[in-house]
Amino acid sequence: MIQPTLDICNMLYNNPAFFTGPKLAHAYVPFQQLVCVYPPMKGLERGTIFPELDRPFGIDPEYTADA
Amino acid sequence: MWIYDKKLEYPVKIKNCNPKMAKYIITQYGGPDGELAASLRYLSQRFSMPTEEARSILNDIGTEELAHLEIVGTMVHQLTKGVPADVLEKNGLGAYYADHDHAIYPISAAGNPWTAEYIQSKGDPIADLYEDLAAEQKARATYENLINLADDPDVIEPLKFLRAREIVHFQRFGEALRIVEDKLAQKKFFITKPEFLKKRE
Repeated sequence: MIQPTLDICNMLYNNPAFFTGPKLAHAYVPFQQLVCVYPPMKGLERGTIFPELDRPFGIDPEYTADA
Repeated sequence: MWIYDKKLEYPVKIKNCNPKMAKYIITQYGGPDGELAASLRYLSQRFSMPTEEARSILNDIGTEELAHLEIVGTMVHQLTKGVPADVLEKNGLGAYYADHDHAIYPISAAGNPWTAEYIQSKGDPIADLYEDLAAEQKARATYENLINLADDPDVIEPLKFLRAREIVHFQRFGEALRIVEDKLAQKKFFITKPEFLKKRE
């Protein structure tokens, strides 16, 4: 398995061509693709083995305290 | 059928009691956005899902929510273990102590007992999956509020773990929704005439 040393883990999701054809009155979550995973102990510590789903509270700008 | 592993999904070792924090954290045990509601919601909704993927995702996440239920129960237990009645009373747990002593009982932070009214099982897979996506966000928001109320790393670390799981579950429900919507949108066609139609001719 590829270790997340580069920012390749999020490349797929930052590409606007990846997702096309949304329909009105639907909400969409893109399919996750297996790219990189954390080692098991780091996964336990972070709550996920997927770097692209590792969005810590208070650090990730989308999830800051009392936003 | 389940197989039980006699350990927590994430370790809980709280050294210092804190009945006030226990009163807040118990909402993730028996509150409106808590783990009991989550597990029963998903484990009930799975029966009416139209695809194997959606049934499996609901089954797996519902099972994991039961694992989270025992993490939250363990936290409340350790935060109140051995705390005398008068200290519980000073921290807003006098009414809880009167009915439940030091036991764990599913209530919200405000003291409302758990009710099935917190959940829905609609029979419409799209409606159910949108509820599940919302439920994960509400649980994430609740864990963030609890982290804001906590000051003990022994308490904050398990809360951070449980919060992180909500984001992963949201992703999985989003994928289940896509699979279900695609399946429902498919036009039904037959390569050969099916048996049940032939018999009627």
